[in-house]
Amino acid sequence: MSDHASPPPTEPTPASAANAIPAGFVRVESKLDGITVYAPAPRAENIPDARTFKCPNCGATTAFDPRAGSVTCSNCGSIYVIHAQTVGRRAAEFEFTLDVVNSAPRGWGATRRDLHCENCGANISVAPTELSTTCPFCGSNRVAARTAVPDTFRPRVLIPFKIERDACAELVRAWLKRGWMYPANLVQAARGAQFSGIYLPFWTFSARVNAAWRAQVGRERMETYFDVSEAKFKTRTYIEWKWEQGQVALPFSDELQTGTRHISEPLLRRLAPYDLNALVTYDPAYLAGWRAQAYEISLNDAWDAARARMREIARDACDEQIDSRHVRNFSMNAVFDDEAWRLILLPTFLATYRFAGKTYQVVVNGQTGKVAGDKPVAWTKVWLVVGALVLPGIVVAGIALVLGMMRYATGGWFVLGGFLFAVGAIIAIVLIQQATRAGEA
Amino acid sequence: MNADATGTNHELDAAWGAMHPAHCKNCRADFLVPSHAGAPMCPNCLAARLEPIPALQADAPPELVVPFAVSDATLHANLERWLRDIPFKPASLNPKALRAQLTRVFIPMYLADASAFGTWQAQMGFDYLVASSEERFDGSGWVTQRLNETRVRWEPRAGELARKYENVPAPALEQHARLMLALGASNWREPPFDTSRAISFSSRMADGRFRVETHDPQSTIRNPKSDSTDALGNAIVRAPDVAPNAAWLFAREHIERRAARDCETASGAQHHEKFVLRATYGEPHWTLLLLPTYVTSYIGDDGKLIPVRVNGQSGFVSGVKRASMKRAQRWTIGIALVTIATFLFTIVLGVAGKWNDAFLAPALLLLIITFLLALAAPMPALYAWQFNRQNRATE
Repeated sequence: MSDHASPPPTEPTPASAANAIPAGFVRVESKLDGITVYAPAPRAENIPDARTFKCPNCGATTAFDPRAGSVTCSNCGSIYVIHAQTVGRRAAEFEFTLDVVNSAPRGWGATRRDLHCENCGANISVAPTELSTTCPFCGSNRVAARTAVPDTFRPRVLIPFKIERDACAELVRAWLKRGWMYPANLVQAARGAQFSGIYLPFWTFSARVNAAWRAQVGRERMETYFDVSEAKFKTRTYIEWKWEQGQVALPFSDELQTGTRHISEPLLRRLAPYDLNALVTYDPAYLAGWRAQAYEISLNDAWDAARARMREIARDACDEQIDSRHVRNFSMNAVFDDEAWRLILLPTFLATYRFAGKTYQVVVNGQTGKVAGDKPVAWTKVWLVVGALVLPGIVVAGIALVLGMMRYATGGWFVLGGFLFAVGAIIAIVLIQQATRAGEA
Repeated sequence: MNADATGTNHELDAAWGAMHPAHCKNCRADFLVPSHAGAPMCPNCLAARLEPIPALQADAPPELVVPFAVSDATLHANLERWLRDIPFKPASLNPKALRAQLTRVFIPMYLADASAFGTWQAQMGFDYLVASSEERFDGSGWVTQRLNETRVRWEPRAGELARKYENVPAPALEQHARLMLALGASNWREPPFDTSRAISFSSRMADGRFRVETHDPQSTIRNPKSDSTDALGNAIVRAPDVAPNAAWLFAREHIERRAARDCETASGAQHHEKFVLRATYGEPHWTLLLLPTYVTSYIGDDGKLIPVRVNGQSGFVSGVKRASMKRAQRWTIGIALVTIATFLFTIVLGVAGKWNDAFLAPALLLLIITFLLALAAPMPALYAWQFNRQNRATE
């Protein structure tokens, strides 16, 4: 046979190749001769190169204004709208691919400088105009320039500041005034505190945990038996052990895990909640005039911590399925599926103030205005209150005791004194504990 | 194949040498049979003898032949293995008889070469690894086990294709699919033959004088081996009954499947779906290839021949397995007769036991044996019937 065979039917000549390739496709490497490959063009992310935030109108430095929600010029009042999109919890998440470190974009979109605090070791990303600054973590002025950490993942989303810097002072003043166990002149001492707005890095994690548990569960049973020594039937309770098992499926969505080591985890937790529905796509303009910190806790370390928390929640859910307080040989398997992460920036105001020779830290949620921080405890006040609480009981009981020795019938008064003392002591212990916690916070 | 008939016939005569065309009136299949073979049974239907005809409808000689490559020992062993599970085998169903009936039959298949030019679009799947974990709590604490899970990321791809596809199999027989499955193919589109072992066809092969030629060096098919077996010797050759025009649809489908795999490779992907190729095909070239098979048969209870086919290259055996109901019934009748005899003897012993108790024990034993034989008697017929029923269902 060969070429003289009947030629096969042919199909209509296709449109030119250029027309057949979908719009937006770009040519990529082909691993086979004779075949070209086109793929969708990588989505151009709206991350401008180094940007200087200067007012085109008057040339003055511009900054993000929380009240206007845009970049404003404090000199001429010009307002420049930021074209970012509110994505909320729908913001893109990433899988834990093995090459996540290589594939994740790096660097910051605007010219920023990482400053290294030699006092506390914090790395702070600051606007290019700031060559040195007061460290918001320790209040130290000994800050020196340092090159940026190379493996910083770029945050994709952030929550912009909603609280203005000026409003912080009032919020903190109200917070300092709250409570009686603090020094009266605390507000005056903290008046000089400088509030520094900073975007702190947080990781969010989502996952589905399928947990299967198995345990021996004991149920109390009653049984009747014959007591030979007393020659009669009696009942007693015994525990009947049986193997039981169950399953729990728990979805976790946007579990927050801090990415900074310079504010304690409890303090950051007291700042919560942040409304993640306000997440917007990252735009360097939001950072104009504000500080931002690169993450210090790596993705893996943060995920380990978040996973540990999730598995404990799953364990509690398994425990809840067991309707008995008698449990032994409990074991469970928690399988994680659909794990995803993202790096976000959350707005925070940091300030430090000095009182009686010691430095205290105050943190303000830049979105809600919630304040958390350390306050010195006025122990003199606390001990006076404690004394006032226990003294009535001691006095009443003491007088009753003396009168009793003088052969008066004061038994009732003595009991009353003892009762008052006990109640006062309990309240005093609670107060001391509260004061201790407040002092350690 | 589109030459005029006269020229074709001369060419054909020269090519086929000392073979003559024949036709089966029962199944309408055309063959070329060795001149000395007389009028053999049709190796296709085994229901009629082949009758000589003046000329074949087919208009081109083969270019390639896949030689027989199954040794006698392998053939014997494969036949023996194939019929091992058939109960109550018909008398003619044994390896020796099957081998005595073996007929070499070449069946035709086309190999198409064509260049494809066009554009394609598909969803390509890329494997990637995701780190996951499993946490175990056993009372003493948590143990974390890291797991790597492979997931597929689907992405659209498109492109242009300009490639030549060679040796694309296409059917030359209407029965192609059924024959390929019978000869060991898991998918009829992929013939169960290593076509790279094909040798060039020579008219002298038809004479039984074997000559080995070097095939077209441009072809991807390997050059023939000098130790190839007696190519067409004494074999019947089935003539194609499907024209290349009709076979082209299958060839094109095959080319599209190959193109899909090629585009997947070109994209660096591991999976593909929704592949669409818009192509024109040029430089067509058809090669008629002969595939080696053996056909043998055994006689069923109704006296009809039941075909058994053997892949002449791999030795794969297939065919309808039939148990002989007649043999099974003879066994049933034999056991039934023995049962009646033991029953009668049991009665005799039972009657004798009236006078002498010593006969009662053997009578009871015989009664039990009779009962067991009565149960066993219908088993051969039932078993054979069930076997044939099952095999009919899988035919």
